[in-house]
Amino acid sequence: MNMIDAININKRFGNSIIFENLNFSVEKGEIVTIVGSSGRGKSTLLRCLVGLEKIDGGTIIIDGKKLVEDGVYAKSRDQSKILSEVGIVFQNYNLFPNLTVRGNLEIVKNDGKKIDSLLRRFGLYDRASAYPSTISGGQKQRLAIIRAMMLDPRIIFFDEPTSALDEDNRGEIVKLINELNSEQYTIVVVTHDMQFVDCLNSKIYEIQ
Amino acid sequence: MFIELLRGLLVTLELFAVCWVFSIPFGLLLCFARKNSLKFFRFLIDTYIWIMRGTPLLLQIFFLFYGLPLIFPMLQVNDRFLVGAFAFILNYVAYFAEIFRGGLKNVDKGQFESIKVLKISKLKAVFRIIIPQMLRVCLPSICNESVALVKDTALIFSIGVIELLTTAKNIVNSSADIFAYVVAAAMYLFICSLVNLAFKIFEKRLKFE
Repeated sequence: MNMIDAININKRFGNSIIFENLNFSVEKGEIVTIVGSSGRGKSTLLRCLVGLEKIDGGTIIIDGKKLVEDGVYAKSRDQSKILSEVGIVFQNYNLFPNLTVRGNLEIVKNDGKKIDSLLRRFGLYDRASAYPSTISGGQKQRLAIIRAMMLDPRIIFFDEPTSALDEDNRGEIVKLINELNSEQYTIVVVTHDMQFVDCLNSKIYEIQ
Repeated sequence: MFIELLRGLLVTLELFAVCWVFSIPFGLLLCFARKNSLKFFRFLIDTYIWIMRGTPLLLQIFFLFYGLPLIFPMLQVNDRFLVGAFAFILNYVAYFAEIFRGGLKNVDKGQFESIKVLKISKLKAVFRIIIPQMLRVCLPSICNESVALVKDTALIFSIGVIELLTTAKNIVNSSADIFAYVVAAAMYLFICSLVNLAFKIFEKRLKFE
């Protein structure tokens, strides 16, 4: 069964076409990487899939539910329901700098047990009261992943996950993505880092 | 003399406190209303801010106390302090709204995207994420404006409210000794320094480190 189906989707910014008649699908539980040089609209595509941008035409189906059909979006309540299936780890993480590591999670869902267990699992328990500005890049990324997991999404999107990481942390993110995937999370990664793509056992789409 | 000056100081502090307590939240409210409202309301808010910032506070006090009752007699209010405080609030709300607008502009776009994707409620997002981040940027300007407000309070003398400076002036007039001015200056300095100190402490707390 497909988790995501994008059928003939179009996106423009003013007169410039970002993508046109783009088709792709992601099966449940698989890892998909979307590659292409910069400026090809990879991140825009991802933003369309998580509801941060609107497409101008086409159909997007997430877990069998139509988010957009022939360019017409579902009602906003339905959209919100459908989009609760997706989580995103932004390129620069977009953590809340005024909240501690724990605060960044509590504001999403105040579930102490879950937060504790995720912080332990991702090695951030000792840094729970630290502010994002005081933790390392790898830790920030792990926090962003935990935060995306707080709402129990079934699909997690990663936007250029290696762009701010060194070699060691790159290995770590590969490990984490594989781990998440083994837990039945469907993973979609947007990247231009081909070395990183080689490390992932994924289906690859290239935006031309 | 000291007791008289302290009485004047109390009026100054009262005006400062009333104005500050109302101007900050209403300034914030105006700033958010401006960002989220329809074009027409945005135009109204912009016009209000333009008028308030573009005309002297003294004129606004005169207008509210002397001018408005001439046009609308039912708006005649005899409590001079109340009318003065209202004029101050109207004026400072506009300034604070502009300061907060700058702060809001400074909040990274990514923060709003995270809020949207993580489905954080608007109220929670505003109070726990946006305002603290805005304040961090705005605090020096709010401090400046607050210090200006301490000194601006003297303008209320224009509608006959006796505050610190007017008290000092009256004492000097009757005693032909300028010492009352020196004491009043020291009092203003002390209050402004306290305001500065309070903001410095608050600024340190908002470092998020």
